[in-house]
Amino acid sequence: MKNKNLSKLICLWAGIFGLSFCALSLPNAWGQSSGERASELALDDDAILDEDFVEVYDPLEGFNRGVFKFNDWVYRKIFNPLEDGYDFLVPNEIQKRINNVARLAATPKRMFNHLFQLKFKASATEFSRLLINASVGIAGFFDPAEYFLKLEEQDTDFDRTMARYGVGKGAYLMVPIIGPSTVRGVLGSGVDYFLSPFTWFGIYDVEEEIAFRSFNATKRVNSYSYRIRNMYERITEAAIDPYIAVQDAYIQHLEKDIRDPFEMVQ
Amino acid sequence: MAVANTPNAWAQNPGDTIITTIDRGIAVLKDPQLKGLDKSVERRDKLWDAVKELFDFKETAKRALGPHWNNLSEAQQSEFTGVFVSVLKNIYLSKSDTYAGEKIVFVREIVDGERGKVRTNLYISDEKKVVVDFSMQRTAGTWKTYDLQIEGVSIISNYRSQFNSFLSKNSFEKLMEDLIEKQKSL
Repeated sequence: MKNKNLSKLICLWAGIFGLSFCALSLPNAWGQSSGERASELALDDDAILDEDFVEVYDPLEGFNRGVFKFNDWVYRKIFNPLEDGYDFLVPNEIQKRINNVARLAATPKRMFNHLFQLKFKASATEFSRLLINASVGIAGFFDPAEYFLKLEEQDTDFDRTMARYGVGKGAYLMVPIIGPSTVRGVLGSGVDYFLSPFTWFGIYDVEEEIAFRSFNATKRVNSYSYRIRNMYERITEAAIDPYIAVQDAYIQHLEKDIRDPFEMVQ
Repeated sequence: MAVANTPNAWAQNPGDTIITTIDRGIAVLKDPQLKGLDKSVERRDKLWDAVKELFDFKETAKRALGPHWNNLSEAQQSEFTGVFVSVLKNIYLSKSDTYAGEKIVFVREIVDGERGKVRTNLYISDEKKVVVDFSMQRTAGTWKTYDLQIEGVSIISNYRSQFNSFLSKNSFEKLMEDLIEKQKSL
């Protein structure tokens, strides 16, 4: 099993190296023709500076509110103490490194989805980041691509790929433990699962299955401690109706790329 | 093209307005005489004095209520504005207590007639930044802010969704009751 995986890994690396040279030398013209888009959109002033309503289809509101209450309890009573324990045991510097490795492992997801969305420049950036951080960055422990070369991570997923091709969000869903999503988001994470290196390298191997799951749990606690807790607490604390506040923030964040006025006029 | 820097040399750009206000605010937070937990009330008051002119409260409240605004009497509108602004003020001023020298950097601005957007980056650490956009409107030659977007999430749109949902099931009076309770809890 191990040898088979090793050969798979070598094949993948050879492929990546070959492609990456193309990626690094991609001319800018291959990126989005943003100039054209900008002038087109700029004519419609309101499209740029108006904050319109976020439309949410929530036929399962009753059920969702129940899950929201449950999740809120889990976050406060289980995740927060877990995170405090993790914070206490694992020094901040090491947390950052683990976080970097988790982000590196999610590179194929971002790279392929940018490709599916025809965002060649962003996909090439992810390619370059993978190469640099996996090698110079010592398997992703460090992020020299961003630190030295200003190559910032370009986040995306299959949910956004579907959005680009006009697939509607579908109903809003509060997923137990995971949190806010939509029908499209749940389908998207199913596809993204197949874009994870852990899925490629023998998920059916029991040993690896356990390794994968425990890694996912670390990732979860990590990303949670990094972003979600702060954001979640800030939003719910300031809310009149925390359920709607979280729902609205989730949908706004999901659509921020297509609403970003600075992207439109770039 | 409509999107360009304003040609009026006499008027400040929205970006300048944001940066000068932020600098004034940070000066208060860095003032050695206002450091420490025991000075938090005084420090928050001074900070508020330094930044409050940046905001157009009525515009903020109006946009947060959306279509419901026009159904209110003038007295109700100003009552709502007062309480809503006080809730926002208390939430955001209390966050300033943990200020630890974070930097805010101007990135870009878009000006389109009487409206504008200013993008800034708030550096939480060397490696982590948060994108904060200010929505601006010019009234009588002065640029004022009516909304903030943190990582693409508009604070005012967030409240508008909540108020809209709330008012579809409850009265305006009930909303005021809940807001006043929120104000007291902060």
